[in-house]
Amino acid sequence: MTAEAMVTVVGAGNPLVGDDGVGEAVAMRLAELSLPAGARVRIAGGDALAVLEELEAGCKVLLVDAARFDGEPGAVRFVRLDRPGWPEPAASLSLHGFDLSTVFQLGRALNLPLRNAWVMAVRPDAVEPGRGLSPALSRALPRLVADAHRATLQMLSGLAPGGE
Amino acid sequence: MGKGTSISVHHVTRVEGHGNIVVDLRDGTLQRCELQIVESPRFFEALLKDRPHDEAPRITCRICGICSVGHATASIQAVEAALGIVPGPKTRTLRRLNMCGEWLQSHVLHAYFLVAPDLFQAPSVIPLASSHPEIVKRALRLKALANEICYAIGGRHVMPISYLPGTMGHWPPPATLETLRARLLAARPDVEATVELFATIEWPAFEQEIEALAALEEDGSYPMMGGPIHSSRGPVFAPGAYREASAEHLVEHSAAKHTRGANGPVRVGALARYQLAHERLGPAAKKAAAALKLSPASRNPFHTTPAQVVESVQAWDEAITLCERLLADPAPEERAPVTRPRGGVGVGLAEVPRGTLIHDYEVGSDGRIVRANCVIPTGQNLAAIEADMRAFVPGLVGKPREQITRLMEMLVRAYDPCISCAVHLLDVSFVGDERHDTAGGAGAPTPDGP
Repeated sequence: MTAEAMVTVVGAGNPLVGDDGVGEAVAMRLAELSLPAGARVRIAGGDALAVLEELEAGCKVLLVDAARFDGEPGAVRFVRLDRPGWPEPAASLSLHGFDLSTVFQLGRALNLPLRNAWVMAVRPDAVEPGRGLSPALSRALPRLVADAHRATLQMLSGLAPGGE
Repeated sequence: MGKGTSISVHHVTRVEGHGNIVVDLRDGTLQRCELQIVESPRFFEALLKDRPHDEAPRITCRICGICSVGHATASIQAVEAALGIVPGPKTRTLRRLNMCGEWLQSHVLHAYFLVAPDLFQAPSVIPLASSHPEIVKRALRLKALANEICYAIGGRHVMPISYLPGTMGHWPPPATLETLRARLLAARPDVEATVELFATIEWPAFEQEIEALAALEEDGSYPMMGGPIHSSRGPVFAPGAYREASAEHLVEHSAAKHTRGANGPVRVGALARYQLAHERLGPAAKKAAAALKLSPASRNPFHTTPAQVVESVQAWDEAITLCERLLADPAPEERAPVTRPRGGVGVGLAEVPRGTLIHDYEVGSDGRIVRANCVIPTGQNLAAIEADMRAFVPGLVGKPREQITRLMEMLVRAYDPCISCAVHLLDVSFVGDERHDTAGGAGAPTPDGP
């Protein structure tokens, strides 16, 4: 499966919930580009455990997902998964909705190389039931795909994603 | 717990979605025992209305990330039934292989991530991962394998995109099937270690006879792809008569519909399938059942987990066979024709990890969906869970409150409920007379706790 893939771009989220689908939208567009050898794309839906599977298989991971933070819709932040400060995981563990703090805690307990996983967090505009991205994120999509593509190349080169 | 005590466990953990358990026991008499489903409905059926029929599998697979293949399967089969399409044998084989992947993934995740922490007295899989990392890593390996099956067949690890009326949109090349087969064979030590692990478990003793239902395929294979609904009471129902087997109704305390059979609650899922179709298992799964001491006569809902382990072995073993069958003749199959172009009503059934899943559509002459009804396994099991709770709780009188809470949660969890699908965690509330415990976390220490 991932023996030869060194960077897996994981698109997370649900496209039936507006901008929550931005991770999948970016990953699907990225898959249509000619990615360099060693990179692949995976659609994960709500399965954040996919990150740990990829790390366990020896891959670096770029997880693209919607995240709320200060900024304009479509703004991007790159966050390394082993950065300190994740909230305690929810007690109510559900296989449908593993949050990233749970993934972090589980990955740490399993001694997986969390430093190899980055989150490309995209600021959504509207996260609500309904099909398709908001106009703001639809307009931003080409830039987001370019950001993800550049980040993938950077990670393949052993660099941290997000720099120019 | 004294005779006049009632308990409130708010927020039952390690189940899929959000719900509460409320138990009210006064003077030794159970006044109220409910599994309250408090999530908002998601209206997938309304979302299907007026959509082109071929979009249905891609929309409905979003109902559940765990059972996305099962929803796609039931959905495409409902569309095909409505349009008079009979897919060929290779298409069915490919779809069954994908279902094997989903069964393996879902059962392994439930057994290892949601149930195993109870067995090791760990509050969740995270401390279990610290104390027994090899166990959790094994689960991750098996999950990854299952995901690879789904990726090869469905085009994605979850939420497949390859389901088309009458065929599949992607036929894996022989090299992919060879790789899958090799990986499945290499997973034998992990599969065997899973059986060994769960064979060491002493499950709580509790039996209750509840009508079991499963859709059994007419070719004698282990139930997975749908067929007439068989009842442990004897009757057999055609797929279109599903309402006679399991009729939906509303209850005040649940945002998810319950169902009932002719005689009351029904039970679906791994234990019901094992009860009704254990003789259809392959040799490897039968050997696992023997190692797990799982009897077809068991009416113990806690035995759902060992039944899931047996079915994991079945899914793994059968996936190898199906890969070999496809390798023997890997060419894509021609698309089966539409024989009822003006549309009609079609019912598609699939035995998904948690039980019988029913999709019932009406397709109009313009090819668009006029009406849709989805009956989810967890909805069918909710009345059985409550019946089990009512029978289980009185036997717990006198036990420490913390133990009762834990056992109640284990009981609900045994059914592997997917509340997210049924509408979407669980809160247990013991409400009482002289003392009221309000929402603490599940298993939260109480003044008279042990």
